[in-house]
Amino acid sequence: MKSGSNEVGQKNNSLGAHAPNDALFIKRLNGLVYFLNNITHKISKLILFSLMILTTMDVIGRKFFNNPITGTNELTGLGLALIIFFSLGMTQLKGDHIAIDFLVNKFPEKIQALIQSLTSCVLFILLVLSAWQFIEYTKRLYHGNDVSGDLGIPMFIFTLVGGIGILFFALSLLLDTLQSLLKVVRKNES
Amino acid sequence: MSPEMIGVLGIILLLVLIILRMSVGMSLFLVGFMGVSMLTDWSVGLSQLASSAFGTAKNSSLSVIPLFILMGMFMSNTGLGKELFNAVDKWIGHFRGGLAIATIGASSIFAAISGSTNATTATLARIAIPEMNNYNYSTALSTASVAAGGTLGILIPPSVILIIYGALTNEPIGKLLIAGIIPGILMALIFMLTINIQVRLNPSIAPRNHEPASFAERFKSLKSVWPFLVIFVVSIGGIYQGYFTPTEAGAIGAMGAFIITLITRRMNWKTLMASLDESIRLSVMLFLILIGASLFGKFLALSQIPMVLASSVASLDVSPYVILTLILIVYLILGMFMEGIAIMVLTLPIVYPLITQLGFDGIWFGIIMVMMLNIGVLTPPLGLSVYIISGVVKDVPIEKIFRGVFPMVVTMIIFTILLVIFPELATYLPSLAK
Repeated sequence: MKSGSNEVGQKNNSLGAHAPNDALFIKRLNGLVYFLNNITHKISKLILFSLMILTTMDVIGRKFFNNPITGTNELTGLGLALIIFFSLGMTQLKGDHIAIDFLVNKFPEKIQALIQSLTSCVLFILLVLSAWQFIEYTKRLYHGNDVSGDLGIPMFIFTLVGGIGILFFALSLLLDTLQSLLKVVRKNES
Repeated sequence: MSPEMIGVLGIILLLVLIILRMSVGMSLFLVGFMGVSMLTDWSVGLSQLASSAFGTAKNSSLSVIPLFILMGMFMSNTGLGKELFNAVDKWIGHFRGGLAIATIGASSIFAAISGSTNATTATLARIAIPEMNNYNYSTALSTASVAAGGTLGILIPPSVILIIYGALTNEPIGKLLIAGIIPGILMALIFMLTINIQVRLNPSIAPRNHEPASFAERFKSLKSVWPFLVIFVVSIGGIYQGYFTPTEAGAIGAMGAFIITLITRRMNWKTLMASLDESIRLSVMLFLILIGASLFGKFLALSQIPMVLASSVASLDVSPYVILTLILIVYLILGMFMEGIAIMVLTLPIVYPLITQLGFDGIWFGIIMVMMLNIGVLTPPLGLSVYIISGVVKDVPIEKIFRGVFPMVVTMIIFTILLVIFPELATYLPSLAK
């Protein structure tokens, strides 16, 4: 597992140190991607804390007052979905996603960066496709008037928001692609 | 091309992507998408990108994952671990190898509120190793006791690995968690015995001798242990008694941990935010793998590989135990090179149908799986727990830690064999649970 400690800000500094124009663009993109994912990640924190309270209240209501909170189970599931889609990007930016590193780390740095830029680029495309499909899914749910079972909340809201989360996640991979490419190019120059 | 052939090519592509350092979750998602598209239609594959991801993410029974992780984060980020260790030391620290034995004891109590080997190992490494260094314990013994204790994190409930096992196999999560209790306690006792024997054979590795603490001191120390026990008894006991679902137990456990740390003035805004942040990132990391695994699982099912393999192995004229042994050997080898959750999501779609077809119990196999993954985090070259410890004790060569851990690995292999001979160790408690 990769460690989660590599700070996004530090990556940014190492890029900006020489500050040619191409790096400046990536630095700005880095700022934007971090800003967007930070907002959604903060919302995730609020949702997780709320889910903890909601579920506890539901159990207390059910056990002691014979009065459970309607739709708790449903809200827990939908809240979980929001947490995940809202924080995929931040988890990527902090380098937490599990990858197995026993071959690539033995290659020269330039080759490593090249491989990284290719795999990130492929994943960026996959995620853009996914975001597009989330929008299509949203349209189907909207036109089908799909609502949740207990509370009757329109489901399209959640897929729409999920799609936005996926898009922010995609942006973090675009950033990774460009940063890796920059490393490849910079080695050539030196 | 036959569906089986496409399936095999998919598995090969998956391995190539993973070797190229693509994240495990995204590799599964990509290959799953391509495979489903090739075996059906591109429009089906594309629509699965959204429906499969959303379907996995909104599974309310999986909300148990972030909630149990949050409970552990609250307890470990507020410094309760150090007091817990000191309390356990007061009770059992006077035995031979006392501090190492206390490390196992503290790990097993910490494991009762933490569902992860990494968290348990990291917490205890920072607390117990410096203490053992003060008393001139050999670093081989001190690091080995932390490494062994850490593995209890996913054996004693709650356990992220067992929850994910349940999600991947549809075995009931509550019963899986309960199944870990007896093996977890026994494993802790056997680790303590192993340490005690090592110290008897070579007293110089644990030179501290001290008088047992007075009973007044012992009972006074318990005030830092009760939060762990209360939370464990309420949350896991509640699942056992059928009072609530695992998700509800997670929420109540996290809420309990929050309230206890708040009223004892350990919790502040910064700790709360850090705990939420770490819990979410860890959970999302796990869910990305689950989302990928769900789409990849659909692809494998369409390719029919698991069914073909399960029926052909089941028709072999050998004892199920021979096949089980072969599977376990494969897990030992995989554990040397791969991360535990990755091993599980990659192998379970094929191995689980095989195991149940051979007549083994699915819940029991969950515990066996935990044992194999735990051995994997202690064996070189990729032994995650050993790397975590080596991050804390930077002056000790990693080979030395691996050598020190070796007796623990042997103990764990012997215990796994015991579990195969006496499956009731894992299946008895779940059979009683409501």
